[in-house]
Amino acid sequence: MNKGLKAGLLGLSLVAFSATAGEKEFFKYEVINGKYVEGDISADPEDDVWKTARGKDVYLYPQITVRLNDKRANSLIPKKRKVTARVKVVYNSENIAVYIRWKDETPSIQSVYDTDAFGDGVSIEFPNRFGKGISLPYVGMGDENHPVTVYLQKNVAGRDYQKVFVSKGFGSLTEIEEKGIDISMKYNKETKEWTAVFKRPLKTKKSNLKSGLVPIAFAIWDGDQYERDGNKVLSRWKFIKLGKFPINEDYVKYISWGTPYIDWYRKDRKEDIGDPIRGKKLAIENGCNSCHRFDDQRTAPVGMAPDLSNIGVTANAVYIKESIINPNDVIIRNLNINRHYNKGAQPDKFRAYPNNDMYQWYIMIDGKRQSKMPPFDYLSQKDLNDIVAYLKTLKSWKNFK
Amino acid sequence: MSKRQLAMVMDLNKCIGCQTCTVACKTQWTNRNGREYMYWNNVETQPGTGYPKNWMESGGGFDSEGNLKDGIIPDMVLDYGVPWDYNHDELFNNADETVLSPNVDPVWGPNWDEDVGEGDWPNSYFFYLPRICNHCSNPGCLAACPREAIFKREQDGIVLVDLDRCQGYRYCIAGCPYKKIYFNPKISKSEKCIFCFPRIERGLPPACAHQCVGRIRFVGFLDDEESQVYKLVHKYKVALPLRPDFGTQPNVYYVPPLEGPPKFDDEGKPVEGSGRIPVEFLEKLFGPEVHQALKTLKEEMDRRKRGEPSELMDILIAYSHADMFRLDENYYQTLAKEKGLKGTEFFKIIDERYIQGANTKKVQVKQYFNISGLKNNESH
Repeated sequence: MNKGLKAGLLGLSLVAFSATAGEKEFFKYEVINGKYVEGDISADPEDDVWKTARGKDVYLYPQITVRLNDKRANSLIPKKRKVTARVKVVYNSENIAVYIRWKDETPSIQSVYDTDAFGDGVSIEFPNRFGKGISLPYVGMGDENHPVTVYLQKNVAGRDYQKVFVSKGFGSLTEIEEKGIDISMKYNKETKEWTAVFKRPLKTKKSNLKSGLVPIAFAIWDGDQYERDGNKVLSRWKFIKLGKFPINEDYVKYISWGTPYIDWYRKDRKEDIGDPIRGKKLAIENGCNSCHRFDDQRTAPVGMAPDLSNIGVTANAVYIKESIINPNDVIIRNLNINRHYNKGAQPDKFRAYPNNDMYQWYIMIDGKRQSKMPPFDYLSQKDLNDIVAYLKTLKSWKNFK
Repeated sequence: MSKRQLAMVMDLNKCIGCQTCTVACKTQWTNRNGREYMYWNNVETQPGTGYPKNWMESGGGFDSEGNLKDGIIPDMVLDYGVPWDYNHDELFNNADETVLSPNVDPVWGPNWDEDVGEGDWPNSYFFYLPRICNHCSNPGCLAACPREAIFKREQDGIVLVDLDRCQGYRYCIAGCPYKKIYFNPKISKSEKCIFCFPRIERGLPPACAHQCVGRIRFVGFLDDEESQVYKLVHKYKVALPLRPDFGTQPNVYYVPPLEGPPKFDDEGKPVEGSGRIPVEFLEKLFGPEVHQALKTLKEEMDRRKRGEPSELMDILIAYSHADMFRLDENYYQTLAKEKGLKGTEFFKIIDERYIQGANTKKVQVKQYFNISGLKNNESH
């Protein structure tokens, strides 16, 4: 009880403290307020408790950072629209339940007698460790230094398809068993909406969510558009405010860096982090376009480095900043380096060509993986802010091919 | 990628399209558990759409720079074709009033365009093309999997799916240019030809190869210079990969069909020295090497016609069935000779060289099949 009071006070004092407009914007747009309830929480999407929580809209955008090889799925990406999901969070002293509701005109199921049918699905993701002094993981399934836990629900005919994974980068998802997990998903034919609820203990073996601000990310699959695995829409890291637990001010400063974001439709904003026009010039001058594809810069080979065309909405500003000054913090093994083999090299005696190192995102130094991207930590703060401001304007996937 | 590589050579001059290989594989592996629509071994008519329909235009494989190309996942009903049953019971009970008919309205089947081929009568032509997974050296399926759930065995180059790791994403199916990996919707995972590796490990060739009535299939290791596959692929160079332009370096090779019977002219007389299968079509399937392969074949056939010896003809004629398969440098045949086993008794041999590993106690070998002469616990 005492602890709760203290936490509450701290929470209150924070509101008085958050003088910066940035932090206010951050809490308004990036934070979902969790509602504390006494008594048990159910994982039923139709439970009355959800009527009492307002929640917030979260936007999910197509994953185009990494390109997969399904022709039909790829052809549908340029015309995809962002998905708006309403997210609500409810918690008690032991458990937390995350409710997510989104519209899908075509409910899809992975049927038992079809080879190219994919089911609708949804997942939520938490970093295994987060808080002051810990940088954010790569939002797409974590990375070597930042394992994440992913809860997945898919619509598959004939069985309950719920899985819990731990991941250290895409491709490395390993299924685990966690006690006290309850996930369910229901479709409403009138409103044409799916609703899913993920219930888990606040504290599991892998992660402890007993904190004032908990990072969470979402992904949704529309089976009708051949979506599964990396073909999906995802959100950037959002944050759940659990008022009963203390919020660390330094952590707020860290994760809210870069808010407010420049919004081309609201030119009256005066507190932008930087000048995006100058930022674009700097991005080209510093050679970002030699490895990354983004905006109208499409000369880098596909797959050499993540495509940044919609990085503005799929990454947090502080994550973008860190990726520039310390790319080694987030190393992802690769999307199967065998996808590129080196025709110029000598094949082995069975005519197998070796892989093309140019597409590998890391190099091995002393047994450790080092990102191929060099750290741009020599940039001045102004230059860095301008570049981040520019990258935050990138929200397009229409040029995806 | 692997230390050793198994290969299969199929002589298309001898394939009669009897589908015995298809049935052998089907009854062994794909007649149950969600794999019913899959034909890990199929025999299609070329020129034709193949199985699955238009697989040659379905993408996958690698481009000229070695990068994976996009591909599509075939549809069960439209591309693979759903096998149907006939109303035999009804027919047998009421023959006077019943017509043999399928129990569904078929849209496409796995061998729908059998024997159709191309060309105008009397000069139409076709040949049979049996296909299995090619266990490629740079597999498209292995490259496409985001979870690296497909791997290539070091000891023999067989490409397998790790079913524990597979999550049913099906990028592998889009990545294979031969469309020889299939999605099993019952377990929500991808499955493919396993080159009968449980048989290989006991010295037996894959079921399709062993059952082939026409004796068209040779199986052996590519680095074994005494093996038939080595001689056909590297020495005489008459065995060629299918669609080498897909870039995956397949390890199933084909001896191309000679141009078939001669053409008939307008009076119905055969035109001497002509052939029906256009060599451009063969070049599309097997690459430019097909010209010298056909030339070598013709030369060796002429030698044999003149009564001269020809090792190539001896291999291709396959006088002895057991001599078509050389697994592990004839280890099994040699051991059989030492033990005085005759004929097909040599299949009783169990390779005991790897029974005791560095960290394992001696493994007890079980006799699963009891062939006359050996008691239950008698070891070799």
